[in-house]
Amino acid sequence: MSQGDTFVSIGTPFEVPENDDDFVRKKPVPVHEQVAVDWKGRRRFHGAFTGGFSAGHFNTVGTVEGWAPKSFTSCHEERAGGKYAQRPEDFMDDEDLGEFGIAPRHVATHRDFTHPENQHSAAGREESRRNVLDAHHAVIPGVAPLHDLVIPASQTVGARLLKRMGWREGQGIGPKQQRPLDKSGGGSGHPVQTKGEASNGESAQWAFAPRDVDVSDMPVLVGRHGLGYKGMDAGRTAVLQSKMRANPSSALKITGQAFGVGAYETQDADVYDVDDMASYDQTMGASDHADPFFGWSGSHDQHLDGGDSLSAFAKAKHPNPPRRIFRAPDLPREFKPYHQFKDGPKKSASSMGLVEKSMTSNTRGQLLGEQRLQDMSVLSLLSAEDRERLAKAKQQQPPPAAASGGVEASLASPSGRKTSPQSIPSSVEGAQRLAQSSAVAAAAASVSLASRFSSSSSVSGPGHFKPYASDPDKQQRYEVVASGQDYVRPPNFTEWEEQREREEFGRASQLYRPLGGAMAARFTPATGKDGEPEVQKDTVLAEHVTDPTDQMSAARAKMFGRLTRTTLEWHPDRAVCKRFNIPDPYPNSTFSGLRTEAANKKANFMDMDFARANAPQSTPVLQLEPADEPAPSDAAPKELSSFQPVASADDQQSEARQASAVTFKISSEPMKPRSRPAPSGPLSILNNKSRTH
Amino acid sequence: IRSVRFNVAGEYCLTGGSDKSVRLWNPHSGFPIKTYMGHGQEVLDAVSSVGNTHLGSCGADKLVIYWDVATGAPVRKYRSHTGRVNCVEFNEEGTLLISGSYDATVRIFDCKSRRYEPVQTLTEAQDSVSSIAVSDHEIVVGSIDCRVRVYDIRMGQMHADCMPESVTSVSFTRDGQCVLASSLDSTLRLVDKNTGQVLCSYSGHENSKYSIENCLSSKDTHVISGSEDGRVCFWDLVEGKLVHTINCQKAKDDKVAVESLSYHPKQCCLLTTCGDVVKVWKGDDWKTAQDTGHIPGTEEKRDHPVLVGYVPDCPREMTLTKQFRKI
Repeated sequence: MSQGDTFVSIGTPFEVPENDDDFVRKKPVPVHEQVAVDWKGRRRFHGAFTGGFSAGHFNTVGTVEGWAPKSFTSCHEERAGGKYAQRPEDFMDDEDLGEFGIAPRHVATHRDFTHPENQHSAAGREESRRNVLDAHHAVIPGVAPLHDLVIPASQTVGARLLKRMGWREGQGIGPKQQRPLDKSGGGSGHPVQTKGEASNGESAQWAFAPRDVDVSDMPVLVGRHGLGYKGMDAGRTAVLQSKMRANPSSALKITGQAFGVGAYETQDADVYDVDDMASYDQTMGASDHADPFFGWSGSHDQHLDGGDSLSAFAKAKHPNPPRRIFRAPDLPREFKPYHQFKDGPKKSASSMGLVEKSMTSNTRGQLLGEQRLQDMSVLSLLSAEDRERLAKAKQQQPPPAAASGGVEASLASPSGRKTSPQSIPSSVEGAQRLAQSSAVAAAAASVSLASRFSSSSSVSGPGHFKPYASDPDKQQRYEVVASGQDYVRPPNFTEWEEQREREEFGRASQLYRPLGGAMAARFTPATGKDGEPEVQKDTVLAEHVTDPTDQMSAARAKMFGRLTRTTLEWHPDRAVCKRFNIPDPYPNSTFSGLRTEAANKKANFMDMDFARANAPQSTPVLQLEPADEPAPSDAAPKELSSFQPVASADDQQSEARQASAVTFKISSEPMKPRSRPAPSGPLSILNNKSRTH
Repeated sequence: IRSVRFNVAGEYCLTGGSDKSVRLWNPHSGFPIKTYMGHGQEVLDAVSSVGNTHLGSCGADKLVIYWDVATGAPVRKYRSHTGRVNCVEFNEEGTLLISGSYDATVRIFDCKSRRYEPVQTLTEAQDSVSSIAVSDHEIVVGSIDCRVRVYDIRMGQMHADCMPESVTSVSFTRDGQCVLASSLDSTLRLVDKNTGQVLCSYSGHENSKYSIENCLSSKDTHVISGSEDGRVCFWDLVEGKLVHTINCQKAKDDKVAVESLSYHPKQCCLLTTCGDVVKVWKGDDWKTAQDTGHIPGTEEKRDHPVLVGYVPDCPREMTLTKQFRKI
């Protein structure tokens, strides 16, 4: 191929490589030889900086010619901006600014002109300006960013029709108006009637299309103020700008470093602003009627009162007729403001609904025409054996009356269900049930109750635990009550004592259920070492305070029961009761656990309720009083020491664990000398028969 | 092994041991089901809740841990006690954990709430709390200060009964009327809950040093207790006579105290610990077993295998210092 000898007439000829090596390489180009080269053949480094700014023109040198010293200007603004500001484009070369560089320059249509038919360019500018100036109070402040995001793709039909008729975007609709060139950009925007004379030197009257309707977004009401509310403006309110001097009437009016401030001090910021109440006065707008038109910025040609401003209305000629007041109607004398029904036919027993209630079985039998079962009882239906068994059972245990169940109910208690199922031999129980049912037919509920509590009826049997063994009279009374008969009041009892006893019995019957029948026979109550009668022990235990060493000695002597037992009032926590699904025994208690000394003292005065049968749960003071009196009524709380909540040893719980038993209980010490002259040894306790309680 | 317990239905048993783990077993087949690690020191007691969904365990690291059975992860770790926690029990519904510890307090934790503090603390004990039993409305606490305290939630009362010696274990009878308390004078006493009287006392075993547990048979016919000489003793509940003993010593003939036992709630089956082994005893009727002389142990499981650094079980020892007895 010869150079310059091209046979190509159309287009550009190929570039024929001169060397054959360049045409085809036998081996592929290795990676280290694949270099990036720009259009000039200079080695590129993938756009990275290869070193060296042109220190001349772009950085410090002012012009291409070189650096020329200039006069000093200390203006910060000029340095920051102005002609000496540096843009990133100054450091870029043609490659960066080219098509594939990092800052390509291209020509694009301005936003106003790219907007499709929705907005005319000028109108678009206006609207955007209006949006900004409107103080757009929407949730997202500023110009609505998504306003132009969704634009209808096609024109509406109405827009197309209007365009055919000569309308353009941004114009209003209506006949053309003649108005002077309005360059102010503000004003009411209402079409103004043109006048013949020129105004403000503008003689030209042009016919313009009417202005488009303003669609201004109502600012969203944020907050609870009224419409149009504006908070206090910091720039205008006197309150927020108060700069009252601390001492306004000082002689020196000028302040500053040389005036009133020492040489070694600097003037502090005036922190001692004095507030003047007058600064809180605000007036809405200008009063004094400075503006006769009250802010009306429209044409002032017309007057507001009278005149033809509201041409649709005309002033009335006649005043309004006076208002008529109508009197209330006259009421008849017997008028009642409510409705009274006239009495219907009185309900008689013969009406259908009530017949069943008043009928007895006899009348019902009569109605049905039955033969009456006369002189027949259920027992005749039993076989002979059963009758014998029944008779035996009757003899063994006194059949409880119908009121036995009533007793339990009347000695009211809110306890839950019984926990201990008694393993009573079924035959005895069955016989009891039969006896009850034959005795009383009507009280079905009490029968079931009685059968459940039938074990408690046998209180007087041998080997049963007697709650009031030391007071046989009381025990007898208790037995009477427990067996279902009415409480008999002993003659010397006052009403209060009787009530107390009743409640005690009720509680005792709830708390204590003696083992009935065979189970009871299996256990023998513990007796004293010397076989002393129980009476002795009970009198000893009459006081609530058993010294722990005494308890220990009693335990060692195998005299368990009263001697070794202390009972205290313990408040479970409310959450504990909830989780155990048990009603709170002390719903009004404010503490949990045992009572402490402090709580005790308060409790003295808060719930000293002597009507309750409780022994006084209190400090030694109250305990001493009953201890002193030999009254028989106080024997009652004493004997129930194992049942009643007794605050005998609460202090011991409140103290830290004390090693010595003597300091175990603070309140016991004053008691000791009175109650027990010889406080040592178990035998002395037993021998202490003569007690002053 | 420090404690073995049946679960509520008697299908599984829980063991807590000195290797800081709580293990869930099927005692009838002898297979271990799951191991729960999470305690920092030995586990002294473990109990399962009613629905078999959660476990409670307590240990010498003063923690009471409430576990989730299925995932094996501790749901709650209650670090409230100031001394090692000796015993733990659930309430009837499995919502409260009641734990007694060496620091003489019984703390009640609510498993359902998010609080880590105890709902209530019972501080009446003067010395270490050794054992707890819970019924549906009562909590019985036995402690080393020789007292058995019955907290009746329904009546809002606390009854404290004095025993001649430190109480090491308390349990309820099945009918809930009596409390069986074993104390360190080698006797067990059946105490009537309402009056505090001792209805019967049982002796014939050895219990003067260690804390040995007791339990009642499923029908309340017998009282069972371990013993320090490696026997398990059975007494007739009513008569108080020693009816039967089982020897659960190892072949080496060394006497290991039988610390913990648990009776199946319905069947005639007994679990005892013996060193690092849990023995399952089954028999149809204890009376006939008495005739035959010996109830054969059905299975022996090697429990808590010897690990490196495994501290062999040392039952709780007792030293007398003035008035305090440490167990």
